[in-house]
Amino acid sequence: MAIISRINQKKFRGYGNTQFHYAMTYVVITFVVLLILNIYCSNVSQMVFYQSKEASMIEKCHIASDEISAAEVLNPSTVSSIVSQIESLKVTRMLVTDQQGLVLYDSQQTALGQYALLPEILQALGKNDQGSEGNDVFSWKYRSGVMDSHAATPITYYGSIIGCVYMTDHDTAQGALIHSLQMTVFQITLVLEIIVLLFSLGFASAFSRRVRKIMASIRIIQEGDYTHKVTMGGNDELTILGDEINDLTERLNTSEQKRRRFVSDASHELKTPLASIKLLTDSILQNDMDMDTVREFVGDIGNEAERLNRMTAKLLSLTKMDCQESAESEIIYLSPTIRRVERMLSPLAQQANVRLVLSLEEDCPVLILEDDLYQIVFNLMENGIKYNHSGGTLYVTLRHEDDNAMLIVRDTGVGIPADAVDHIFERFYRVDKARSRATGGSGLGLAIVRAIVQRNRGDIQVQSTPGEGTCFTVTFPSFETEVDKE
Amino acid sequence: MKRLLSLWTLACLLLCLTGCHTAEQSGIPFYYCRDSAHYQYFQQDGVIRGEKRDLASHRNDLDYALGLYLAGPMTEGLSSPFPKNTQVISIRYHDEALHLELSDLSRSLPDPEFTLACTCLTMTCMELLPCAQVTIVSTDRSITLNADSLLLFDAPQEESNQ
Repeated sequence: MAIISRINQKKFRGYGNTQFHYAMTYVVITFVVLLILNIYCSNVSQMVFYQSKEASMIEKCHIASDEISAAEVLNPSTVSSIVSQIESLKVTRMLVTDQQGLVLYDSQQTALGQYALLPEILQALGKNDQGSEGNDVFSWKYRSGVMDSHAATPITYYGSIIGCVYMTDHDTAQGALIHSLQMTVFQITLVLEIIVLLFSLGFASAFSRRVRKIMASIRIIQEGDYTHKVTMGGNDELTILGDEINDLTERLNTSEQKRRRFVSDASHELKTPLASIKLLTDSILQNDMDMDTVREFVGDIGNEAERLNRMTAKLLSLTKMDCQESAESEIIYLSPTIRRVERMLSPLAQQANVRLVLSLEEDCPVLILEDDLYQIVFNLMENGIKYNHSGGTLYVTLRHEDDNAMLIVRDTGVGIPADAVDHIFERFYRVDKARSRATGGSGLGLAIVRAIVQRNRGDIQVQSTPGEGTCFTVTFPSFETEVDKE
Repeated sequence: MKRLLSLWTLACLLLCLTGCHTAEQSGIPFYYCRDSAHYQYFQQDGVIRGEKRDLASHRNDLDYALGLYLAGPMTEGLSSPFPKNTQVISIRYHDEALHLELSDLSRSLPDPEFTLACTCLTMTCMELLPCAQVTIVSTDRSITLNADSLLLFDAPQEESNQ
């Protein structure tokens, strides 16, 4: 019990892993997608602000540059005077340098008289891509809700660079806007990810619960309860799987019932002759009998033993057919085999006063083992003789219909009751048990016939009218090839 | 397997750290311009960057040091702000004031680049000698620089007290 529990735990731990893998796969995929979207949104928002800021800052630099370039001489006082007249620049810091980078004006008053060797200023004062002097330069950095942007543009006087205007803007408002936008996108991403995580876990849990249900049912069936049904609900693949398992269980159940009934029937059938033998031997041993009576009893014992022998031979034949597939079939004509059976059964027919009428109108080849064909024809014709009236007739007809060869065996005997017709091919089934035993029947003949017919891709039908007779129709697909007739 | 991988990773990490440590050079920093493709805005390292040079026994030989400086940098991504044929014509050092006369640079260096080149040279000289100011003369151009006359970084507002 402990071992079983451990095995079960191991199995369920496996499902737990599957469930986890399912959930994590969804989470990781969505996480990556959302991360990409997040980065994209963040970059796009920054780019929008970047472009807006660049245009604004460069424009401000141009305004200042244009105003300052009007001065004939650049020195701290003239520049300071001009800049003070410019309104609405609204930047954090503004530097004005001469062409050497010497700071002539600093709105923060800290770098006045220093040489400003900032990258933007040097680039603005240097040559541009077209080879002429002067560049408009803009750079920026967004960090933690603050957007720092720098812009520089040259001051030109009649085509010559005489200085540079440099501006810095420490923008917390737009920075906060970007930050807010990014945080909103991040929060949406987070919420979506949590929803995905919950849904994934829920879905994986539901899925693995359904799988566990199927596995539990399979274990119950494994333990031998073939009446157990898997109830899945829903309309997905697992439901179909459950239905398939139910179908399989149903077939297993039917097969098991047939097996049990067969074992029961076989035991019963074998027990009867054995009981007779036991009774006869006890009678011989316990009673003083004359030699004639003893000889008669021993003869009966021999008959019973012969019956047992026939029965076991047929059972072996049936078992063999159950286990083997059709193999090594050959294309043969039916009529020679039918005539051979007729010759074999003629004495029996004469003894039973049954007339045999063969009508083999058109012969045709079929793919079958000759021994199998012989067994089919023999069993059907033997039955037709045994269960016929004295003075009756057994008609054996062979004809070709469409692409099939049809063997019809019709007797004028006692017939089969309607309620028994469906059971006559079952093993050990007898319509009239007393008569069957009297004629040496084992209840296996027709079961063997059907098994052989089905094994050889054929079909067998029966029609019967009580008191008038029975007609068996065996159909095989014919093969239109040249074969040697016997 | 995982343990082996972890040990391997740790060994690689230690090797890298050791490599980083040995990469640190001792010597005097020589200042050069960063190539425009190599300097990035807001990196707070500006357009000038130093590389350590070992002067060995010429520690106090300014002539030798300046000759070595004008030969150009050894580090990739740095370039000399002076033209190749630049020569030091005269050196005068008195009372922590250094006076350098260079060959004619008027045709090869425009004004802003002249300022940048002189700044690099001044910063290097200040590493070589204890000088308060450096005056550099090249034909008709002259510039006097000291430690307080340079604005190399423009820090954001909170830090802008330079």
